[in-house]
Amino acid sequence: MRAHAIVLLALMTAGCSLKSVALRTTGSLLRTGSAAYHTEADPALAKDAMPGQLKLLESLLQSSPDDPRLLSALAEGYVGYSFLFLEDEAPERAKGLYRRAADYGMRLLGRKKRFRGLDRMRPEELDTALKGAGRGDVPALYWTAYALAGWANLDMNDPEALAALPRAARMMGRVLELDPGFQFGGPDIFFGVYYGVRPRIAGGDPEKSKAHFDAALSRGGGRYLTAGLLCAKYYAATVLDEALFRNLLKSVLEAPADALPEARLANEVAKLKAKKLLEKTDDLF
Amino acid sequence: MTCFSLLLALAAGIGADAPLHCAASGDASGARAQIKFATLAPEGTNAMKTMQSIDAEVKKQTSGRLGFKFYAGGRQGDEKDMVRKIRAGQLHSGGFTGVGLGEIAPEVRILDAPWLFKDAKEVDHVYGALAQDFERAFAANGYVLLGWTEVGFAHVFSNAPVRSPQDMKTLKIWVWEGDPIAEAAFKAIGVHPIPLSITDVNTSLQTGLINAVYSSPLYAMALQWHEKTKYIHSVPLANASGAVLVSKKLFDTLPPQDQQILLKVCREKLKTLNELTRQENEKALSTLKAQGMKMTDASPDAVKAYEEAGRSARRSLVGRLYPQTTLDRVERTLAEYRAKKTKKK
Repeated sequence: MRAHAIVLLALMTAGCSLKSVALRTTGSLLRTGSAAYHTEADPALAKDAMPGQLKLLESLLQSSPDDPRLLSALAEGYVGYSFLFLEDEAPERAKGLYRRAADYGMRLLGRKKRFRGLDRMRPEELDTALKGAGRGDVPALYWTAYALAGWANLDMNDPEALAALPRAARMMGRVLELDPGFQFGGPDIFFGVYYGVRPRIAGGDPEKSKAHFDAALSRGGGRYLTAGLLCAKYYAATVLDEALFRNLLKSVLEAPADALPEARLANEVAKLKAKKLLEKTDDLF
Repeated sequence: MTCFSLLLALAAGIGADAPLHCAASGDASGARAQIKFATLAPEGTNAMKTMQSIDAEVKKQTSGRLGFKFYAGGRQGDEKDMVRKIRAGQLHSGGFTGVGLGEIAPEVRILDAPWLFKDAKEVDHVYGALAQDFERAFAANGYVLLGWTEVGFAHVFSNAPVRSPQDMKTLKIWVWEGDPIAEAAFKAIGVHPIPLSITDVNTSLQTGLINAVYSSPLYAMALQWHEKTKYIHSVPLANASGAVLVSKKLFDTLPPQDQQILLKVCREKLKTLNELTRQENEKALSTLKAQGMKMTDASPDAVKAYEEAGRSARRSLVGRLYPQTTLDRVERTLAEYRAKKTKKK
């Protein structure tokens, strides 16, 4: 206790405010902390721990509303939490938190002039802005697009969500050009879902869906299990291919969970989801 | 569950594509009946959320004797495929728009007639006044109406401003190939539309093959047509209908109390859905305006021209879709309703 007080005093006299110390520490914590989540083998533990962590980040953000590391961690964190733990069981809550993630993502992107007012741009303006994006913009674009699409898929009647979806697709299209391997082939998984979930008349396209899922599956050598899970759910079920559906989910269930240590949590959750989905086979076919 | 009923339930599950009596055998033995329902609406839409809540409520009220199995997002093909599969007994129920309704009971498409309704109140009045006629039309073709689920007022979305039928003549306007209603409407104002499949609309807007389409605001957004057009004409072309139907063959196998439960739950919840769709179309219009799309109004003279075109277009469809008597009844009902409303004022 006394030692702490001394350190604090020393820091304060050195002209550092407590806040900036906290933030500086947070910066490195964010990097190692996020890795600690990705490698977590116990989904229940992650599910319980994430909300507290996200609220902590939000309180830090209040004193530093423009901090890119915080905004980025919040966008990614809320997308991850919504996708992994809320979407299936509490879609109404997931909708709200995807939206929150999208807001953080927009704020992060908005730090660059070319992306300011992204949510009001006409399609051609957005294309121009995206043309200027570089590899460094990939995480912000990826998590924002993911968040917008996650929200829209859960609320297909909300005009605002509907307006956001083509924007998300444009952003993810740019990510696919810049870094197709980001997040273990995440951009291809995104388009697999995007083309699989809607009827043909609304731009759905099972062939494109399959091509993107195939690209994602071959990229990771099948080690990123979310690809197989979502391919079963959004492609195989859509085209009523029950055999493929069962095979994909079976290989997710049989794959070793530690095949990709840096995506351990996602893989553990994919296994849980695959089991539930397999149990629902008779409702789907 | 007894061994016997378990066997029956299993049989029902196995008979996926098989005879109707297997899938739906709601009788005293306690076996479960399952209504296989298809729609183009994807998961996550209010239509599907409503159907899921209908399923839960029907299951609850029938103690699990009756429930649904869903194929959303066009998984069973387009509406014509759905009608074919219902006829073959592979499906039992569907959420349809005018396209499917036209396949099933063409006379019902009087509800989609061009420049007929001015607002939702008129729509409700005519639907109410002719309810039994429409139900009879469905029944005669082997269907039971579970509820109306209209798509909403269809507006012209274009890349050049439209304020009159005259303006429309200058457009390269899309018409859904095989849509007799829109064809008749455009013919009545002397427009030569470009027939295309709905899946080609997006590309054709992009390439400039067409520069105008018609749709309800919410659908225009769902189909992403709003991204490729700049103007919305405030005078709607028509009110696009829609309905949830179940095959009469299946319905008749259900015990009377379950039929009643199904009808009551569906009518109630689908009515709410219909209200919600109207609100969402309103919201979609304001979202589109906020995004910079411009609404264009028509002068009183142009409105009169639309009314005149509507009368002639509706007459041209007599015999093809509906009999003269139905058209007369609809127009008379509407005229009486309008007269009464003016008097009140």
